[in-house]
Amino acid sequence: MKLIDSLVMALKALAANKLRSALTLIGLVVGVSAVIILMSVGRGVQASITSVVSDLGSDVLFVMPGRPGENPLSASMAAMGKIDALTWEDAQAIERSADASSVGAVASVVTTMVEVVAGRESRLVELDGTTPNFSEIINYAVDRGIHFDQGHMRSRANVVVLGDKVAETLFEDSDALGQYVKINSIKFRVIGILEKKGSVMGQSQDDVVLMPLTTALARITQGLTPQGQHIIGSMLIKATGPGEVDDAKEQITDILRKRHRLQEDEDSDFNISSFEEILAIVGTITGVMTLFLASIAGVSLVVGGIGVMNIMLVSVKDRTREIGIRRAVGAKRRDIMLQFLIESATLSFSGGLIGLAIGWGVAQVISAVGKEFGIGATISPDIVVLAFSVSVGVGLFSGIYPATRAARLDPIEALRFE
Amino acid sequence: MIEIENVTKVYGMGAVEVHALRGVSLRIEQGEMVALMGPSGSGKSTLMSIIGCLDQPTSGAYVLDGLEVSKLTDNRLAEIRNRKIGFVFQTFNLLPRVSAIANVELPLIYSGVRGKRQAREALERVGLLGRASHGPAQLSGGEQQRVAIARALVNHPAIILADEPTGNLDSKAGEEIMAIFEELNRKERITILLVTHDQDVGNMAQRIIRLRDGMIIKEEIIREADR
Repeated sequence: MKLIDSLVMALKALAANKLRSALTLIGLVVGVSAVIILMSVGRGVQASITSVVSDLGSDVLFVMPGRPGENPLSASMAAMGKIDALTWEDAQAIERSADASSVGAVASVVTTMVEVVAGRESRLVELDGTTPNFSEIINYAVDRGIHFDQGHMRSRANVVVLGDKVAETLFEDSDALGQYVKINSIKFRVIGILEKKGSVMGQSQDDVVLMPLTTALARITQGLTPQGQHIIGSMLIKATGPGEVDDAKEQITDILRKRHRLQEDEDSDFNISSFEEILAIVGTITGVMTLFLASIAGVSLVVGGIGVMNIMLVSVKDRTREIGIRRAVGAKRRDIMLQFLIESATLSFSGGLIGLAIGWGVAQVISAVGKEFGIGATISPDIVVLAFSVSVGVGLFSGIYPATRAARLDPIEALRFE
Repeated sequence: MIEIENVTKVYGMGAVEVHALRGVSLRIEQGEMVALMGPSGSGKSTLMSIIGCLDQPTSGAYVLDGLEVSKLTDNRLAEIRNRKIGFVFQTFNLLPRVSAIANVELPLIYSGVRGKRQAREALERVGLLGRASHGPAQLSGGEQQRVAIARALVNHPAIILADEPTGNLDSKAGEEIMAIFEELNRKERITILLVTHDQDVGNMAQRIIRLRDGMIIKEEIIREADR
């Protein structure tokens, strides 16, 4: 018996029961498209986070207050006057230290949420008071106007650089450059607008206001330690090269421990992580998330497979007499087996194909719509191959038992079956 | 040629055993037309299944055209059914959703030849070429049975086994069917084995073999075969 005959036979049998075949298909279609959509979204999120973090470069270190394992909120505890705060004086000490040979630029940052007012418009945004080198380290480029410099720092000038989105919402039609905004009822002149950066996971990176650290410390946060040092939120430190990151980390640790007067056996009251480490953590988290989503979708695929098995069992029962006739005129057991296997394979193959098309389409739509919010869907060939082959595999596997039952039927009894 | 030597068949090898055949010996020459008669439960269907290679005897020997088939594998039996044996059933047993010609083609599919030409020839021999594309539901009982005969003929078998071929037909259609069998036997020397309750049908054969309780109780020669 030729394979083409089996295929024609299977197609005819499926066509004879169109509604039944279609309903069975739906189960597989939903499963396959769900796997593709969820995995693509998972990958998309991972890709967008990764791209943002890797933008920062692998030689950047991130210093936060708080002992390892402590809640990140310890930063605000520190701000409330606890001793283990990071201070601008710490940052300056690192920058100036002769022992910090692997340390390049040191940027200090205070971050707070403020309401920015311009005329009748206002917007709640993240304010970063930073040293001028901050923008170089984290790749914030000024699109129009200028960035603040050491001169602005020294004079605690009331100037701000606006993120693209802030400028757009506050000043709609007119140009924000050279205008004034009010923060805490203090007037600040807009001297620059940042380049548009887009969103990550629904969070716009353009919803930010930068101002000189000294200005922010003096006018906005005004946090001081009991010793009168200026409390900052974090430091961004660039090592002198990608190979110097570990040395830099060690040197910073030594300097800060000395400055914070920590005992030998005491834990550090700050955290230093490289962006590479953060990237690894992000990768793990999103990887687990993607896997989780995929396994939920996988369950629906399995359910689809059970649907195939169910319908094939019914089909075998329905066609017992046909099987008897075929056996009488010379069909071998394997011919019967093959006939039903090809039927279930055809079902699962077309289910996989349709699911693939739908999954791909929906992922495209998510990509297009989600672009605004920084949610992408990355369809890679491995996802498609995985989803498709799993669906065909599940379909084939579900066909094995019914096909075996069909092949095992006794021809005499099958012929008598009513 | 069919040679059966002391064949027995026991069903249900557990607590309750049914002895369907209790030692049947039988010889049917090539080109004979033989009727197998007997009441229900006499074992004629079982004997028919064994001769048709749908079943194998519990003991005894069955030689078909010089080939001992009682010990063959399932696959070999399927091949023999396909090449040497044509079945005609009381209930026609056509595939319901396919055309007459596709039904006739079925054995060809399993012998790997698949020829529309042979199927048309077979339909022509039973006078149904004009209805080749009709489905079974569009055909009368007599026509359906003629399609079944065409299907039995398509691979040029040595034997046609007909199990109550006229049982579901009115007498006129039954006579037509019997006329076809008679002609196939006379002109093409195809061996025909009929299982029947109907004495008139039995009388069309050259020989009647009567079974009862799994044994042959009587053989009647109706007329000499045309040799």
